[in-house]
Amino acid sequence: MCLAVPGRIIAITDTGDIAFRVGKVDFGGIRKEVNLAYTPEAEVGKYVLVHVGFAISVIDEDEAQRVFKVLEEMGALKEELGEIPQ
Amino acid sequence: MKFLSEYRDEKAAEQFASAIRQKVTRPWTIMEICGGQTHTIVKSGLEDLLPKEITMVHGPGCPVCVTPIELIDKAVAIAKRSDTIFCSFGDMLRVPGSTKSLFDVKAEAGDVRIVYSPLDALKLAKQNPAKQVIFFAVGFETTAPANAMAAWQADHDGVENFSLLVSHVLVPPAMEALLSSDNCVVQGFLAAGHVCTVMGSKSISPSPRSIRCQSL
Repeated sequence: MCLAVPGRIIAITDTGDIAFRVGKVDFGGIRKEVNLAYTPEAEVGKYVLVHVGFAISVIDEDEAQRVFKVLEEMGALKEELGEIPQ
Repeated sequence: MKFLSEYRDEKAAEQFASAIRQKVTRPWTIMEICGGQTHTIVKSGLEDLLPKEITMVHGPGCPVCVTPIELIDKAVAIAKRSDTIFCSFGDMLRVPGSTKSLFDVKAEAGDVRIVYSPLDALKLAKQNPAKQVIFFAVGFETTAPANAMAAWQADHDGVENFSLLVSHVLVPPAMEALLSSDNCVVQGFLAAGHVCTVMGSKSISPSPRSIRCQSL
């Protein structure tokens, strides 16, 4: 619950209502649905920081990969991503 | 024994420790705000690597720790009801109330479910219209927008059987309260990164009266 994990947006479902804008996000091979309401600037191909099912920030690729690698090395990814229903 | 094998880059750790030792010229008392930071510092034994001049003090930024026991008791009482699905972040289940934890209720066949996001709890409410679905909405500036969106979506979609048991806490007032104490020995903070991501880093800059304190 305390972590935020970076992932890459591979598809966006846009119904016209920003509150329900949902992205399919790839976290190193694991794909999850993420609410994009708080990151209107998020686009397909960009990296977002995801916390409790919401993108809280768009970040650049270098930062995303650096953070992902550290979380992976800490063994924190499995625990965090394992909690996200597929 | 995964804690002994994971993240053990001895060379990198020694480089960082050496760089910190060379920088330090005077004693520092630094508080890490987040429970996640405390967890990592303790688990990895970082305090032993730091020079003796640096003292780390554990801060108040753990939602599990700052949720009042009265709220845990309320959560337990609600979760016991037979018409209820009680949803929570996994971290909250083992927190003891005055008599029981949510984990105890689950063990006694209460319908307590771990969810990753408040939106998952909302989904459960839509799938179980005959049940009352309650989400334990705890946390700081980081989880509040997510919980608010779940409430907004429930209202928008006309979901009548979804409720939040709310215990939200702000980080900056806790820092201010600490700094304004006459006995405060904290000279710097390791700040709460995700709070800054959501609120902006200015939100946790020290106030003028605590200008001698630094946030990193």
